[in-house]
Amino acid sequence: MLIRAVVITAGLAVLAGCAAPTRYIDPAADDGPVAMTMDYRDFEKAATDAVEDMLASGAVNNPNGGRYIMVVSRITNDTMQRIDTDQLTKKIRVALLRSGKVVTTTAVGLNGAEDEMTQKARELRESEEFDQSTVQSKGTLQAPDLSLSGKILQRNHKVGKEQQVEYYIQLSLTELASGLAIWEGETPIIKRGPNKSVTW
Amino acid sequence: MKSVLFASLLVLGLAGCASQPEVSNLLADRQELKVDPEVIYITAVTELFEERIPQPDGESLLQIQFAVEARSDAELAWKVTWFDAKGMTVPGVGEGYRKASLLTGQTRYFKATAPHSRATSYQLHLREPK
Amino acid sequence: MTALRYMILAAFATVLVSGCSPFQHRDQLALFNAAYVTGDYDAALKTVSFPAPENKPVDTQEHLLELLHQGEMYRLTDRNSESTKAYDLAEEGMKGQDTMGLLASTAEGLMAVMVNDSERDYKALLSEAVLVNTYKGLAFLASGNNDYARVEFNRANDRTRRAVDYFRKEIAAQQAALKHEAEGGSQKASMVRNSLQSGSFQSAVDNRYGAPSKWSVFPEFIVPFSTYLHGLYFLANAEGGSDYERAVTSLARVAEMSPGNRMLQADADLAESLASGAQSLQTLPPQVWIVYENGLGPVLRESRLDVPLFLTYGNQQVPSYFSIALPVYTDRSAVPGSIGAADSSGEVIRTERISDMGKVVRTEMKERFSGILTRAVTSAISKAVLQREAAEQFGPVGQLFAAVLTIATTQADLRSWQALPNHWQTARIDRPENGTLPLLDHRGETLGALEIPQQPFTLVYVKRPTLQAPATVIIMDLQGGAEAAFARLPKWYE
Repeated sequence: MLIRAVVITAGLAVLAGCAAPTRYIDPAADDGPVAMTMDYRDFEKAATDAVEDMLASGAVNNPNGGRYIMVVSRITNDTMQRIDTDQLTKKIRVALLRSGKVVTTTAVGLNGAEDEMTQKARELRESEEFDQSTVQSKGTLQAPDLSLSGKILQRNHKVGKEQQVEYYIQLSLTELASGLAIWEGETPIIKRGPNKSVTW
Repeated sequence: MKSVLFASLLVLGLAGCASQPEVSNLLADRQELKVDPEVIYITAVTELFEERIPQPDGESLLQIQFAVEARSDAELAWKVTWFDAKGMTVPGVGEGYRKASLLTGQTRYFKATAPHSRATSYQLHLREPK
Repeated sequence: MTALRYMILAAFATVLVSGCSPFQHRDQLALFNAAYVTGDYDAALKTVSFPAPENKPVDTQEHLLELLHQGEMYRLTDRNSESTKAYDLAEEGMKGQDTMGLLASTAEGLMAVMVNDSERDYKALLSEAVLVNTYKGLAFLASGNNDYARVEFNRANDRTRRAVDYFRKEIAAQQAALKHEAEGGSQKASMVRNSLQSGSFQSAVDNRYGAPSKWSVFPEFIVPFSTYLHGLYFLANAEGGSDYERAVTSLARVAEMSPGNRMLQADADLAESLASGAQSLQTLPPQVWIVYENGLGPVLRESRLDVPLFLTYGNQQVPSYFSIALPVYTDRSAVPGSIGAADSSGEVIRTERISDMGKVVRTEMKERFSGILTRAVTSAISKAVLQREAAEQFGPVGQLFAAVLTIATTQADLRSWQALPNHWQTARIDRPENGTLPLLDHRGETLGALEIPQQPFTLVYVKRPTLQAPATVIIMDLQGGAEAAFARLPKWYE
């Protein structure tokens, strides 16, 4: 106990001496070290690949003119890491919206609307407190044309003395009218690092 | 004395107006390809193409392709910044650099597509990741 | 010379300060067990609580053993978010130990050699680590968080893969390192190696302790319960062919490990026919799995044995007898028999055994045994050398003092996770049309009537440590669609 206490204290003192201060990281200029887990840079890479490919392929271009309406379906997290898949889909949504070709509906979703206010605002019909001419009228909501779904996979292997972790970010864009996947993409993200512990 | 001052102010004022078109001159000065010296040392950008890919709705998107040949094993980071006709940046998906590795003698071809049809020019920056 | 004196004195001081810690651990675990066997999980939880100042992060490595117990006690009292939090911290502790810097691990190793293994922070067995993720997965399922449950079942599977790799390659590497050190001229390492390799030492260990090669073990590292639940989870949550294939792989592997179990074979067959499309999901009636964690898991006892060790005095090698303490796992009791459930026609289906925890632990211990033995022998030799030095420096009094301390500190590390079961059982049944499933105990008497919601895949999870304790029953949607129903049966326990 004594020796341990002394050694650990000495160790801590050494470590504390060079502990890094908290600082901001600018995503536009981040050369920081890589972790075995997925971080924002991986999501950014996958989203960039997906969006550029969607735009270049013309898949998200509505031949009838105007913008397509997209709904985000399920992105399954099949990794060993707790991921909020919105980190990925939000980037794609923002970029597609900016491209002027696709707009995302928040009024429908697998587990109900993303923004429930669309429905709530309609419950004001018949309310005497509200100027009925400002209340949303019936039949104005727009149904989606496209659905974005996907899966994030993780496979780990031991490679020599190191551990290799492979993430696959797989995305599909389904045309709801035909049920056909009009665009598909996969971004592999491969990392190799120490095998001392688990990857998460 | 006063009139001199007034005249010089006027000149300055006129110069201020005149500086408007100067900005577009600056635009012409912006390099399309910017390669850091560390990268030039080990690699060479051998090709740089651009084209506009037509879209079904009649618009078109700017796309570029460039080739990098490595003289030795190299780590590379690259990024394309897009500009509209007035020289304003057009935001893309992310703002980080994309990393790439090259083996000795390997030539790799990279493509980037503009995030919006209003992008008309670009700047490609190649650097060495730390 | 004075430096040597100080070293000896420092060693004595260390021993005096910390020699009593195994007794503390043993006390705490005894208190835990006293409450746990009666099903008083709140009281059991108190015995493994530790003060946690709010402004300080928990030292997860130091408190790993407590956190493991806490996680399971919270889970068995329907506090799933506390449970997953405790298990998360336990995982963090395990990760910290894995990646611990050289400095700290050397200090820990020194402590273990000078005193005994229980001076080290508790290091979880790999099988325990796999179970952490499995229990956490169950806790997330019970709280209706399917996304996180999936992550945990994936983790459990990855830990299993890592363990198989570890035992295949790294143990061999450790042995090679000792050999290398001995050949490199370290006197102590060569004493340790000569002792370990001598025939008289080996036969002394085999006679008193039992030869590990004769233990009943699995052909490869596996925690069948974890692999089984991994299979069930992906069977119920399959989104496509690859998920069904995972279910097939896991369920077939578990069935292979227990060839006599018809339930496991039937599950593997179901996965196979769903994967091949021979069975469509639409025509499959709602399925109910009953998974039963029964009894008290194996605990460590101490086995003291006198073995000949080869010490080098000058140029002479003298065998002399020393006492070493080795941990040995012994099985504890289980509730007899199985549990049953009656289907719509009144026919009773009874659970069948998946695997014993004892066999899981023995499989792992067999692989680890040479490491444990090496450490015990190194410790004994270090103490012998110390005794000799003490005699030379302080005369007979010093030697006597050193001898007494050696006896007091020669103790095996007997800590382990006590909330694990003796074994697991399983059965599958079609959901009764009226939704009411009578659950029967080992004598065929009714434990209670379960309400099974209208959902395609239900997991009825039952854990009962002893006959004195009620059965904890958690009725989960295997697809994690809703929060689980929680009950303690039979009702008269409440």
